[in-house]
Amino acid sequence: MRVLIVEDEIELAGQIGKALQEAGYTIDTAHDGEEGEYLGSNEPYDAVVLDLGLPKVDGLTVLERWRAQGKTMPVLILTARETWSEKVSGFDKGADDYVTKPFNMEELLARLRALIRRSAGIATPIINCGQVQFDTRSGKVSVKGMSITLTANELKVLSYLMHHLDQVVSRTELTEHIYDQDFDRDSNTIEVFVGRLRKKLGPGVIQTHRGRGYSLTPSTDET
Amino acid sequence: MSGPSVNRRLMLGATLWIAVALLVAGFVLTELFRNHVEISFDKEMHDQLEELLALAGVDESGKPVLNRHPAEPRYNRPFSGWYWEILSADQTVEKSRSLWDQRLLAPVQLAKDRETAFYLSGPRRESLRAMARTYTLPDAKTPIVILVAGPADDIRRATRGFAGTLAIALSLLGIGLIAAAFFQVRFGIMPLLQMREELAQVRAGRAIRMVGPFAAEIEPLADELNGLLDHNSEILERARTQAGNLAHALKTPLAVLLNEANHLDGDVADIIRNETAMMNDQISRHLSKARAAGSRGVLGVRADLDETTLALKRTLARIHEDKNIELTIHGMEGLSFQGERQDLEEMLGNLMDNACKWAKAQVRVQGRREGPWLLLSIEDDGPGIPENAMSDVIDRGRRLDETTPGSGLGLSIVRDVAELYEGKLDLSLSTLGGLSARLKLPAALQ
Repeated sequence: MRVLIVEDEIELAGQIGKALQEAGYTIDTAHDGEEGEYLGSNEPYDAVVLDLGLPKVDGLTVLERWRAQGKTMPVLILTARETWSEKVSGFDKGADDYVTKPFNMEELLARLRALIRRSAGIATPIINCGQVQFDTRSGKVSVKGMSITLTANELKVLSYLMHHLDQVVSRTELTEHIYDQDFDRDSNTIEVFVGRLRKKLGPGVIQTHRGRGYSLTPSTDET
Repeated sequence: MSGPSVNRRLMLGATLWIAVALLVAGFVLTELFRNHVEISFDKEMHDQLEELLALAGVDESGKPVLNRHPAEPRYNRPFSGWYWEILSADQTVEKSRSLWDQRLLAPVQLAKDRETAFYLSGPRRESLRAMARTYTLPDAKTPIVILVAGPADDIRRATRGFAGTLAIALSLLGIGLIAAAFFQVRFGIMPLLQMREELAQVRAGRAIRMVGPFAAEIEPLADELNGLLDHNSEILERARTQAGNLAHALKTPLAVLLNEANHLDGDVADIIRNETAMMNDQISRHLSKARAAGSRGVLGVRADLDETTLALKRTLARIHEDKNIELTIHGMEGLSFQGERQDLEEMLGNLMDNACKWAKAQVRVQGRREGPWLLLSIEDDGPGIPENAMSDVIDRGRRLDETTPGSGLGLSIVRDVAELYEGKLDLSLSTLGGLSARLKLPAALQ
């Protein structure tokens, strides 16, 4: 899951970035509205944490422009201004949730998780795929009730696939959502991660669609 | 409070001037007419004098005699009011039959060589207009005085008749003039009425400023008022921007501090957490007060309840998406709050959000108008607050339950803003089982 953080206060942006990375997200950070708008318009993010009081272009305008461009990624607004008229206009302009400063990082993470889940059309925090169970809150994965350990990158790949059950996800798409903008996109490491995941989850969980990508489908013959 | 109306002042002045002018005109015209009647009367008597003079003669002894009496019957009917008399050295030589046994007394002083007209009292004490002249007849020893008199009442009657007609004519003219003045005044103060109408629109919040165009004399007043209105909203806007900037400037570092503290253990972390929470509350509270326009009677503001509650409902549905709360709004159609929309949103937002936080499944928002007040209630089916704790919740902005932060603070902010509008916030138990917050706010003029 790749998240864009748009926050002008470097310190706070760093704290959020760190917390998100620890929670298994890939992050990009922008420190002003212009850069934020550019990244949000051109990179495929799974969610955005958007501060409203931004230099150059203010947050609400950035949000409005994204929505006008047809960008539908969930946006979590972060602001120090907590008036209801701002909340109302924030939601009316296409925000999905709202956190006021100062905030608890756990709350921000919980809201973000819920947003990503909802935008993927998943109602509960625990996603099941056949024998595989993925807890979005803790990032814990179990197969047939047995907890398994995954590396950060393996978890990222699995998390993205779990959020897109029954969909064919191309290698490019996976790369875009797992690595930040500075990563060398030609790398073939995705295949390595998928291979390792297959070993840990058991065969048949991840299907390969030749030339198109991968998908997670609850397999019926594994009951 | 207000002085006599401009309308009344102008009308009073106009009526006064019209009345004085017409009275003077009536008096002068009547006098002129009386003069004219007198002159014609005198002309007639002059003719009579001439006739009598032609009839007068002198006998052999040089005494004046009248060859014959004039034929006019009015001089023969006793006390007819028409008389003549010829005197010589204060003795009556001849007199008209109408005088019977009486005589007329000529005034002592007569002008020389011309007629003298005067008023005198007749044999029946009636007022007479008389004319006399001293003549010296040829061969006469003494000069004679011929005196002719007629009823002065004729002059008076003619004058009175004229004055009566004149009074009617002038009264009609007066009524016409006053009516004209009335319409002129109406027309003249129309720009003022227009201004009043526009001001009423602004007062009721249906217009932001006065549009005009106004008459040149009151244009500056309208400009001043518009300037004041603009200045007002400018100040408010600036206060809000400043409050927002300050919030941003303070709360972002607070967020950083709080996040750092959460990575630490022990007392220091607790202290930082508590202090940042307190600072945050203080900032929120004071900034919300600074932001609130909160002056009842500020010109040009009104907020639609229906619109505001629906916008908040939309927002709250998103914020509390996971809770699946049924939020119902009743009776807001046609209600308007006399105040800033932001202030209304702040109060209702806090109360409705609070209700949604605590509610199990249902939040009910109701509104109605009672006289100049709006009575709004926000109820939930949550756990509520023990009745003896209700005043504490608002008074100290206390948090009754740390797990749902800021609820008490929200209520105390609502009360602060409501009080700026001379309104009120009361808490009680709801029939739904939870808390019922009742808000009393000034209603906008219809």
